[in-house]
Amino acid sequence: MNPIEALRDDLARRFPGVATEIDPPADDAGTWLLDVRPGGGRPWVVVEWKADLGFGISTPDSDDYGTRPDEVCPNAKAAYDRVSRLILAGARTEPPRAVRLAELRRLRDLSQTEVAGRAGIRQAAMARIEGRGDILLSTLRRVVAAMGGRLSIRVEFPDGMERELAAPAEGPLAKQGAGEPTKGSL
Amino acid sequence: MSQTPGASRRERVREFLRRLGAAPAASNHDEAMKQVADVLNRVEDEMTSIPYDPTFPLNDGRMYPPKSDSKRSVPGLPGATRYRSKGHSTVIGDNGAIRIIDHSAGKVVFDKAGADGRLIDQGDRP
Repeated sequence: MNPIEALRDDLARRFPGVATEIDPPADDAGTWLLDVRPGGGRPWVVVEWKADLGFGISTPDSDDYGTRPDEVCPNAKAAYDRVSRLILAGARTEPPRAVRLAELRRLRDLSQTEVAGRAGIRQAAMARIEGRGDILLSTLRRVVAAMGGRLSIRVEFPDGMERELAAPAEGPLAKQGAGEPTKGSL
Repeated sequence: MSQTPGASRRERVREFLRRLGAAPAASNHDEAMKQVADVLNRVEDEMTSIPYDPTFPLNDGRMYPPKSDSKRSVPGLPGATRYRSKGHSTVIGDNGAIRIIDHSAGKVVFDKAGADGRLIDQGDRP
């Protein structure tokens, strides 16, 4: 029994109501897949395993043709813990790739002028913000809000623990004048 | 078609399937695999700014063609080979037929005959 088959058995023991199915490759050295379908509206979880790459974990949808795993776990224990958390929470994985601000704006089908108008700044200032390598959190929060989103910062640790970090501007630092830019400064 | 850098993945998948359907029918497995790869890579090059990096182990937002290590046999269809990715299976016939199955929806989302006019599950019929 290889590690992904053992993972399937461990998950089946812990979650007897969850459907699990191995999709083996033609060559045992290829990429194995484990489909985990919790049911009840919770996302379908796919685990990929290859001996030299470890465990990849994703909750794919119809637009995920040919994309790589959203997350990678180095061993079966970490993969078991992560999949268990996803099943229990009915949560989804997220691709790790960061996008630049300009790409995010285009993905939302917005022009610089539109975002600038909503953020209360000039288009030229928006262009400068998108070109900066370092942006004040308060500025970033305002621009993201102008796109209709909410800024969050997630911290990930090697042991799998994840927490959303309270943004400094929402805590004591904000009261110390930590640098909310004025319209003029943008 | 005009290029659309930063297009959503849904738009890119739709464009990939549209172009794949419009391409000439392939006449064998290798030709069909090359067609899938060429069409997909061209769509991604034109419609995203995500660089092609087949060695990157995580989801970088880009769609990549089926790889040989994802190969599976297809029970009952000896003339077909299935390539599984996390959300889909791409089934390629020895006659160049191409079928794409969306496992999240549990349905075939693309089906194209090979140059002999036969679909994947018609490959062995006289």
